Amino acid sequence: MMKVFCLYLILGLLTTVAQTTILRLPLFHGVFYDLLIPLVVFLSLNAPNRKGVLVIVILGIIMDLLSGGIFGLYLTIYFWIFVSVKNLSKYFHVGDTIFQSVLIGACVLGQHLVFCISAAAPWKGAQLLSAQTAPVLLQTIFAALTGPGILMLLGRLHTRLQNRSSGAQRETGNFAIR
Amino acid sequence: MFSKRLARILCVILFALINIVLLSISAKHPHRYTIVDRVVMAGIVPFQEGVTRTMHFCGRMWHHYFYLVAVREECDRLKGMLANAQIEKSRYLESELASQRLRKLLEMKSEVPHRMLPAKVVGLDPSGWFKTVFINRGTGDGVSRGMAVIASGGIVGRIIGASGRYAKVLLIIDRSSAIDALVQRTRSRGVLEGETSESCRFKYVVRKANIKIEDTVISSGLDGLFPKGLRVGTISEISRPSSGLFQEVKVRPFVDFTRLEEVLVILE
Repeated sequence: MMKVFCLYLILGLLTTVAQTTILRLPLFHGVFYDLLIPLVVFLSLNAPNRKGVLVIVILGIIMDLLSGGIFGLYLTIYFWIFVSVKNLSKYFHVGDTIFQSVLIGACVLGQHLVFCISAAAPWKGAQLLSAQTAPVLLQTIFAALTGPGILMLLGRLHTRLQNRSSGAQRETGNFAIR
Repeated sequence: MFSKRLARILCVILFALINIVLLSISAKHPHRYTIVDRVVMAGIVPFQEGVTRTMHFCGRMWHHYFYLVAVREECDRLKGMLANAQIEKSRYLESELASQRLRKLLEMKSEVPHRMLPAKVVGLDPSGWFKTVFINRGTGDGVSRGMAVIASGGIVGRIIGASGRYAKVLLIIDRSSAIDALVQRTRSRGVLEGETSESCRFKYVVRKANIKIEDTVISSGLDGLFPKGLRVGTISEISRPSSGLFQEVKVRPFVDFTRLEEVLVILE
């Protein structure tokens, strides 16, 4: 199980590197949202609390260190997404694609709202806000469209890894690892 | 009466004569088309045709397929060569562009009388809301917090954090950035604050200050961060509200922050 979480951590780190280099190129016209959000949502839905929180805290801190914003913004956002989705999953059928789509879109929009308040509060001048409106909408729509697909891919990866690790455990007879 | 030998000779001569006569008759009608001809033709020619077609097919196969394999190989080889040439061309183009950029940086370096360190932009801010970049120079190279960063166009920003090998630069277009600046032509002072990716706000420019669009804004040097006289941008918009002490001025930076690749860190 630890291996699985190390893998999520590595996946998160690779995503972070990609979205601070390649995905920020003008070529993509700012269409790429924070790709760690689907990972956080996925961990919230599938991971045990402690390990999930550990992964998102590490990723949140790294993102905060890479960002020019207030330290703790990403950490706060990821943490609250984790908690909110965990609670929502008790009341809603989270396997539904439309629900996932709305969920990821809402998370991306929520993240932008937090950034907006932090970086360009409307009462400090609406210039940045108006400049960011189009990218925010674009990213939210893109997130809603691609989010369920990413969740599905992560789900398959998770199942495969769990099957492999449980198979290995069965072979060695060591069930106490989990 | 006749001996056997004589009889054979006579027979041979007779056959020869008959043969000559038949040949003569046949020679008189050279292209007679008999039923035998038809039967033979109907029976044999299809096979001939088959064999001929097979031969042609084999010939075509040889010429068009086996030969084409060689042609294909040559084509692949040429395609490979073309791809290599394109990569080479792209590399040369990239080198030329880098050379142009570096030449501009060098010119800038000679214009600014400070010790400077060239650096490359290696990472960007993960969010579109904050404007920072990472450069490949850190405390190990003498870079420290607060140092000014410039590019061939003008001021880029300042170092807000540095590790051993890398440093984080706050760009002048970030909302939390502020530079003490002045208009080069009239020496009117103000504070330049980041606004959007394309413009900055030039605040606290007094109403009576004589400024106009396309005036160049430079650093004043009074903030203790940026040396005096570094180019920042041009005035792109001026509005004078009916009330208030100051004008509302927008400045378009000289540096294209979407294409920032190489920068210079002012070490002193």
